[in-house]
Amino acid sequence: MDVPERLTARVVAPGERPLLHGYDVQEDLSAHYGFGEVVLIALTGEAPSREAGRAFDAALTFASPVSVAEAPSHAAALSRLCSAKPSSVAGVAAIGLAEQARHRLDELEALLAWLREGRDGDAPTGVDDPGTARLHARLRAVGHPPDPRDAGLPLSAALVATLFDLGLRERWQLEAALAVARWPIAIAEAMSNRPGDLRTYPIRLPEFAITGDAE
Amino acid sequence: MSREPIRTNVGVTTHGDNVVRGASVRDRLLLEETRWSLLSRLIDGPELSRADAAMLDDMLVAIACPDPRIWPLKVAWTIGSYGDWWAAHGAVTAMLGECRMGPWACAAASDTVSVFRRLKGEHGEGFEDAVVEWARPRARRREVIWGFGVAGGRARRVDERWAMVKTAMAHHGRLDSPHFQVATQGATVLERRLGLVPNAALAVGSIGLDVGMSRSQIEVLMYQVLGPQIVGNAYEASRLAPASLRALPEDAVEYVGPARRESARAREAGG
Repeated sequence: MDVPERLTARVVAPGERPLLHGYDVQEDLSAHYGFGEVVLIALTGEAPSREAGRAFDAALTFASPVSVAEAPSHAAALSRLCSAKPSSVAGVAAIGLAEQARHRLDELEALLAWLREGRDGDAPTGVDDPGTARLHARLRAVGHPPDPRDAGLPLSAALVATLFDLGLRERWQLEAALAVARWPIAIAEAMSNRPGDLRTYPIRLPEFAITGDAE
Repeated sequence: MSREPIRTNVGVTTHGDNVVRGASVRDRLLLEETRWSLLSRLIDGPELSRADAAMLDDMLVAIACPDPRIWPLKVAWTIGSYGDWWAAHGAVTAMLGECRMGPWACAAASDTVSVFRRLKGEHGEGFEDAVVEWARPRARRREVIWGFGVAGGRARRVDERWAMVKTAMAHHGRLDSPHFQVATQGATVLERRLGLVPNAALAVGSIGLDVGMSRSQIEVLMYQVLGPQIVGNAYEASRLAPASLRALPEDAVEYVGPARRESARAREAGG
């Protein structure tokens, strides 16, 4: 069988002066773009306008707080309490966040279809979410006004709509952005626990109703 | 945010005994249960006898192919190159979910076997032509017929694991198990008439059905079948921690992305 002898790189040109999608990381991106914008470049392949970059930063910031009540942080915190090493805690958080993003997008499939169809027809949900109002105010403030048809979306959907408009049209792009936004926070929450301090962990939260006594 | 308790009977720990799906470890499972019957019990699968377990043990060995150049196993090696087999193993587990090889492929192959069973029931003596009629348009469209095809290029003409599982099944007197038998018949027809070569997934898919497992339980079965190979490669990778995998030499990478270019902001700033 003919097998290639080299790996193919399409995003990062390795070397002493690495390029990201053709942009010099050390001379160009580090001087002119923030880290959030570099994430957007990585995911879309193109350097954003200032307005789009600020909007992406705002969206990531709105998406970032992942509480310990949510499964990714909860699992990472439990790992830490079980004395997992930090890299393992980070790994658990990463898997959890990627799964959370996948699940969230599964739940928002109707929204994604609506976005892909050019927001044709009514928005799939109509709610009055103050979080969405605050996100949209921030987007207007950074010069990247939201689509007015997004006003009735809950925040989680409005965030996805914003990311979609910023060029993240594919599921993998959206999942990556949502996970990246939350990863440091999930790790930090987990690492705030003391290894081995299992007595502080509410093992019955939530309660398991275990049925089926021994026959 | 629900506060409803999570209802499960997967197991419970008690003083002096533990319970698995309602069965006492001390009074019922100890010295009776095997790893396969315990696994099946835990996933709410069929009851498996010691004879089933012995057959599955031999199937596991027949499937063994722990070559680190097999794609999912190489994932274990790349991550294991940093020296932690747990992370290496976790990486493989994380990637296997809908990976089109391994557990998912076995579940998909069980669908193929179910089609064979249906065609056998509908066509009886005309089974051979019915199977060919079903498979030919798919093969023409270059669709994957799960349970068929071998990786490894022209040099590897058969999946030796299929033959070894057949040996194991013969040893256990199970060649005429309904799903395995029809899988064998379908494979013989498709190999002779269309040149489609059966693979290990067809074997595991049909055996899983024969012991009474569902599609999703067959995925679990195959994950456990692969377990020793995954752990073995993860362990070996972490033991050797090959620096050559941590970072390949630059000349081992061919960059085909955009050529060097200047961003709009760099241009505005004068480079």
